[in-house]
Amino acid sequence: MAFAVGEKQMNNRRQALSRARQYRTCPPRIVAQDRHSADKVKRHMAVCPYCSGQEKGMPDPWEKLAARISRPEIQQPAKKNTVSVGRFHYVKPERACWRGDYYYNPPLVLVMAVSPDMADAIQVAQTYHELCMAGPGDLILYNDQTGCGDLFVECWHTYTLQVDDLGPPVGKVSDEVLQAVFDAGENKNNMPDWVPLTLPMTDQDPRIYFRELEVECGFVFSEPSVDGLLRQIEKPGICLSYPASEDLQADLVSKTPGLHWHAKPETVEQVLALARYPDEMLPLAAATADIPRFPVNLVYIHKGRVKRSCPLIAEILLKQETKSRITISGRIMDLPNDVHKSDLLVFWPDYAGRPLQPFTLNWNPSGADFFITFAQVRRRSDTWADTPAMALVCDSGKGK
Amino acid sequence: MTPVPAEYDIDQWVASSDGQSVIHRASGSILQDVREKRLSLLFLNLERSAVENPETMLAEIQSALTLFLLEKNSTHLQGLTHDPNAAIKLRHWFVRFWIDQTRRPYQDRYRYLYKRITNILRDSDRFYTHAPDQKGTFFSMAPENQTTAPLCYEDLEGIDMPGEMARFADFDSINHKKTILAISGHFWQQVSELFGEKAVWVEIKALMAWIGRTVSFENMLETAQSLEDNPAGAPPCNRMGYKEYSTYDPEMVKVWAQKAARILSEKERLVFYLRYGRDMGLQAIAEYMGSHGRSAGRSSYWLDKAHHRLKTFLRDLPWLSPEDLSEEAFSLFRETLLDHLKEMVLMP
Repeated sequence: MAFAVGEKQMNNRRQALSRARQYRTCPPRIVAQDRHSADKVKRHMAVCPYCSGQEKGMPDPWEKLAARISRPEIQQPAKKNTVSVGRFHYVKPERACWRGDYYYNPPLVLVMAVSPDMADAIQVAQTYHELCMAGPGDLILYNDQTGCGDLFVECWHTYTLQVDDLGPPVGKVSDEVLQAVFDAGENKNNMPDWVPLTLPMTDQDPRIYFRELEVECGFVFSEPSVDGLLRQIEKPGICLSYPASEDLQADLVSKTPGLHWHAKPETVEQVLALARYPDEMLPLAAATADIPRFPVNLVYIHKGRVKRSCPLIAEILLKQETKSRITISGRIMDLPNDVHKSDLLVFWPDYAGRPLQPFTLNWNPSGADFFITFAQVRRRSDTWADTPAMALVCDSGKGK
Repeated sequence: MTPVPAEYDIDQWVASSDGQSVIHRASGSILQDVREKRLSLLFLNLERSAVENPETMLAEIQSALTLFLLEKNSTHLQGLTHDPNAAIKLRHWFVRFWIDQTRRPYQDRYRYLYKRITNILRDSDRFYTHAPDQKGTFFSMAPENQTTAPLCYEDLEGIDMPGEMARFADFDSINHKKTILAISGHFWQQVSELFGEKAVWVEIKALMAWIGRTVSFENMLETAQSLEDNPAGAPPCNRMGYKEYSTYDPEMVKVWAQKAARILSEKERLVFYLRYGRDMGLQAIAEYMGSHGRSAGRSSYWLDKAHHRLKTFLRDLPWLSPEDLSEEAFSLFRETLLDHLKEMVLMP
């Protein structure tokens, strides 16, 4: 039997599950109408029970959801993206991605810990805003405790992201609340008295399916970040003795007047890869219509200082794009003989022009060939969208 | 907005183009409130045919609003004449006025009973009440309580009215102080039991929803139902503002079956079709698939995966999920799914 009429209706978890699935895995209208996504949207429509509703004339629920849910962060955007423990951040919109036939929208997360060993690594707990979906192990918080609306923290659902995955902070919790999240993460029954009680799950509880969805969503955003962090651990690293990236820039310019940067580099690796030589210094390579070519900076380092540098040319022999990744392979042309012990640094700009690191990078100095995979993100057409920025670094002091 | 002379009064403003424009805009918004807040149309005292026509409704609201302005020619209404947010304020005041005027047992029964229960519980020695900002009113039978996650439709399913009331209760029999106290106490005890016998704050909204399972709050003329062609008892717009399917739609069920067929992998489709479309046993399916010996286990594996995918797919769909199951819808879904699987299996 249905419930009676009234100003406010009773919550219904079945309907709340529908909303959660749409909120997490349906493309918002701007994506659904993007002609570049037409194939993916078509595949999504073929399997999604809610988007079929739109074909039949249902209003777009995502927009209404988004309008309600994102209000706090739109009203009070923080100016600076400082990531610290106890703050709420949305995962950046550009991290939204297609996975299979579904489009994963970035969740709001609570920063639980910043790794002391890996500066970019953070531990986060995912959150959700419809309180009727909270179950054992979820910690319900109200607007006065979060600063960004009523929500619950999924204390049982924490994962690793990189600092760069997060947008600006939208709210924060007190130390007491943070401690409660930690405690509940260790034991779901370990909740302080001030936390609203939740009912246990039943056999066919929609919250069971909701949690499957939440785990899937967290995994989609965490996986590339973990890959990136692991790669950072495995990366040998460039040993330079410059106090700041600006000092390295100044040294490079003093050695090569006319050297410039299209985007502001933030690390020494970016300084080396994003540097652009004046056109007259670039090697002349025979132009071909169908093989994209781009400059590579060859940098020699000795005792932590740049000894000399010069431009080379690389060509892309294969470029493949899948739902989630872009893979390129190619080779650096006319590679000198003395670069057998070298590191390849590669960046590709994301939608905002910020340099992204690759997921995987294989560099074979003896064959001068490379194989690189990047996350599939929306890219700018007005910058160096077709080719990556690359530096080949030879450190004569390394390995001795 | 044109400058307002000192002696300008509400009558003149109502007749002016500025006033008419504000009334027109406010009326449009109020019509929206009528639907979303389910305001009682008995306020307008209309024939059913008028209610079903939005244009007539809008005209009636404009007329009622004009009358409201003229009759309530009070100081705060006069402030509207030079207020850039006049339409918003007018809408707010008028909706409050509408609700106050219809909070009667023979008009807006829901709001009437809500208020009456709140007052009775607040005045009772047996109950404690608590009204945090903007979060409704809560009650309890204990002085110290914990808050809870919002109760849901599903949570109230197992709570019955006490004794004979489950069969005989109607609005008039509920609407007595003694009865209200009795059923409120019963409901609180049951909810407390759900939370492991803990003392908890219970929303009066939840109590109302539970009463509404047995007692109709409908009057002979109700608004949102007729305006939205929403049959009595169907779930109205949900909190996010979009409407769920209110009436059984076989075509939609067929579309879902087609989509469900697509979410299965090739092997899952084949095993599921052979099991339910051809009624084959697991061993026979394994042999059909070209496996031998211990392979019934593998068929079972693919069948389990298909079951899980389909169960997940159906879990939140109207007429096809456990608490909303319609046998007719489910057999249509099953037949259509098997038809699609047959096609896909024969022409992969």
